[in-house]
Amino acid sequence: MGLFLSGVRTQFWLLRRQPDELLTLCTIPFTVVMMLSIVMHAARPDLVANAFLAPTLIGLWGFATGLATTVLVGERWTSTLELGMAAPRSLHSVYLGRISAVMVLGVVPLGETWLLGELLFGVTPAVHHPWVFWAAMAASVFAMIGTSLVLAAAMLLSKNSNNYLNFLSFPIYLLSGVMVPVQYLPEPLQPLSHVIFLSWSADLMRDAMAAPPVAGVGWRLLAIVGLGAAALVGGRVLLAATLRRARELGAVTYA
Amino acid sequence: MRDQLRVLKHGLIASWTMYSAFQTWKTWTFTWLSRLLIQACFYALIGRMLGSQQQVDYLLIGNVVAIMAIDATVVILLTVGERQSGTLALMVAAPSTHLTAYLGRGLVNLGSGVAASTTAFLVLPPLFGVRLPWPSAAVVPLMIFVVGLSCYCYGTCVASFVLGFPSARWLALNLSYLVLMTFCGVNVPTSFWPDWLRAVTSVLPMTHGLAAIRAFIAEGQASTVLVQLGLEVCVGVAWFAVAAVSFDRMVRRGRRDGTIEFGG
Amino acid sequence: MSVRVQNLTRTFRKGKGWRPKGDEVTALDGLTLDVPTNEVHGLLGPNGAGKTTLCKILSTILLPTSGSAEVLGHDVVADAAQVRQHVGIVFGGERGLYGKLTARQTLRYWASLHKIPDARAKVRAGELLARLGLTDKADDLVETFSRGMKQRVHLARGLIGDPKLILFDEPTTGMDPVAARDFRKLIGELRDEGRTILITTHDMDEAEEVCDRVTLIDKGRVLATESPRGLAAMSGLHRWVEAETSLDVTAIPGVVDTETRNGVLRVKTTDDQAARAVLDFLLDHGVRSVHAVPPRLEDVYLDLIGRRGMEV
Repeated sequence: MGLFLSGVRTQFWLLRRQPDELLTLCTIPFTVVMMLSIVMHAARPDLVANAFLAPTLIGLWGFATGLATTVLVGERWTSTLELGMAAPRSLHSVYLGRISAVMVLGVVPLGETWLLGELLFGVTPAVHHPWVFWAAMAASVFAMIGTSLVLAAAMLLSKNSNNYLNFLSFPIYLLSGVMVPVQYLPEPLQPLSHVIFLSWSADLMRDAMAAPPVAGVGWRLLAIVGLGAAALVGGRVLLAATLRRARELGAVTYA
Repeated sequence: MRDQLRVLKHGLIASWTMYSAFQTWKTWTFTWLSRLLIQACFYALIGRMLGSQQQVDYLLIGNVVAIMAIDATVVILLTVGERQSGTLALMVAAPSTHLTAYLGRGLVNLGSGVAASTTAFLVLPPLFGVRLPWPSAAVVPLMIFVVGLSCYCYGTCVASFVLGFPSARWLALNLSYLVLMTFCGVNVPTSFWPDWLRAVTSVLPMTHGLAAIRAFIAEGQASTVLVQLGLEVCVGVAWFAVAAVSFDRMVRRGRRDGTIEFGG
Repeated sequence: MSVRVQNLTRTFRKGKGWRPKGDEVTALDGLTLDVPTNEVHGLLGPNGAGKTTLCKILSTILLPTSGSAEVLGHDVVADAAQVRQHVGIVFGGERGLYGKLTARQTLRYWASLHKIPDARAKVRAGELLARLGLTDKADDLVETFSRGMKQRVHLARGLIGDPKLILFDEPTTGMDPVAARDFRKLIGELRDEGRTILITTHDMDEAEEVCDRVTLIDKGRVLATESPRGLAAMSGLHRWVEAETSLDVTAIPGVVDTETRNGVLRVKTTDDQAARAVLDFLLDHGVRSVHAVPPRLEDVYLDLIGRRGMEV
């Protein structure tokens, strides 16, 4: 636990000195304006909830791919990965701590979206089931930590991780239905959505904002947490395999 | 002029070499192009959710053109990178002008953007039931290229200012293309915005070029298309002129106050 | 014995994939080396000789292909955890530092990775910063530091776990002469505390000054292990003459090579007799400051490894 917290603390130290890493926060306003302008221009107030949810979840994901995932790649660049591998304690906890610190900030886009919606367009959507909404948000942050660990370990293997990280934006937003519910996707694609925790988050949070009672809250929360936990375990295994391979080959990257 | 073209040629070769070190045609197709196509689909699908084909048409065409803006403005990162690799001093000291080498640094990426938008224009409309006036629609890629050039010029202008604040380059890049994607008539007509904001969009690239493309696809009057396209060119030229002056001033100031780094 | 390396071989495979299957490249080729406790030992050799590969294996971040390596009696493969407790690594240059952390934060972060409880880490970081003269700058960002100061942060980082063996990888790269002198003093202090030190370097003067013994490595093999002076004596029968002159002596029989540095002519000769001939020639021509000098480590290095520094 101490090592995990040391990772959290160090990441906050680093972030405080690198405000430019909080780039995602600067791009959120544009997403907010784009989404809200589309639904307002189309005179569809019923879709305002979607327009609020999209920047919130895109922001959460953006923190993961823009910042959390690059924690390990950055370690490789600065050669601190080698020093870490030579240290007596295992690196997993400290890196998980650093990723978690970033992902806790992933909640900020939520507040930012609500604030900007009110300031720029004078609208705020009602959240009819606040407890469900917040529980889904918390579960999503947890799942995002796990997913970030998998992605971070995978990116460590790649020489051009930026190519892949750039890719992991709109395809994910589309598949997870952050703006347009998954039902609008072509049917063959829909099963893919179920393995992305964000699709469960988007669905549950949208339902939590709507007036009708939310069905199957427990199961749906469990799906988010379960996918997150699976990713966490997968990330840990992949990181261990990557570091073991690095010791054997003397090279971290795959190619 | 011939000297400049030679600099441009070798600059392009160098850019291409660096670009292909990070991208092969496979990674470009499967990570970059596909992502941009899906980005355009993401917005077109919003149109479908809104429930009208008109919305689908508007959002798809807007975003097919807009996805090129990222590539067109990447020149912001590249010029800063060029400076950080310590070549500015060498280029200033060289007999030819550094302007061509610096401001031509992102042309390969512009090519990538135009290629992506063109592919999107050819592939996506049938998927979303968007009708195009073939065969005359074949001219649209040319218009996309004009919009791309204009966005590129705007990028070089931002780049010439960001050169002095290298740590802001990522922020500058994101803000630059997001402004275009948000306000220049991509998702909603510029008439949606307050007057002052509309005035701003009229001097930004994309606004007029996109209007020209929309008018052309809707088989509007040729004069409208040509006027809008002409305005797009003017906007691009103006941004490039500002870029050249600003870059030149930065170098002159650098020679005076010693901020041109020597040897990095 | 702090370090015992026997018949150590390490090969790499080129190519892509999870398990590359390309051509094999040998970095270490049956290397054997013993470093007694409390010795300052230099590893010399051209780029690609295998110095860094050896350091990586000793610090457990690379596994050997065959052979064995022990650090303080612990095998680097079987007892990696034990080895890591006792080894400190110090890089040269900018690698391995977080520019956006302060010196103190850097140490506290690494202390946590070295199993040091927070309260003790705080004290230990303070002590190390004071020892390395960084107290005034302890709360400044590392990226604002000069090369010399960054090197001290590196040193403090390497010492955080109180290691018994310290591996220095090109430590004086980019240091100015004053910083380099301080560094050499510090090496002496570390030895006085009973630590063992292994330094890879290109700097012959540095190796000559601080090392008890040096090992010359080339192509993954040990060419020689000796004290700097003993190694110099191995330089065959070559003798050197130094004189403040600009006379041309190349025509004298037995002169192998000449070079002029700062107005001082250095003449390499085949043997004593040739050296005497040069001395006589110079004295005859009225040159006053003339003397025969012992070979320097650099001469031996060039003799044994050859002048191919630029080829690599």
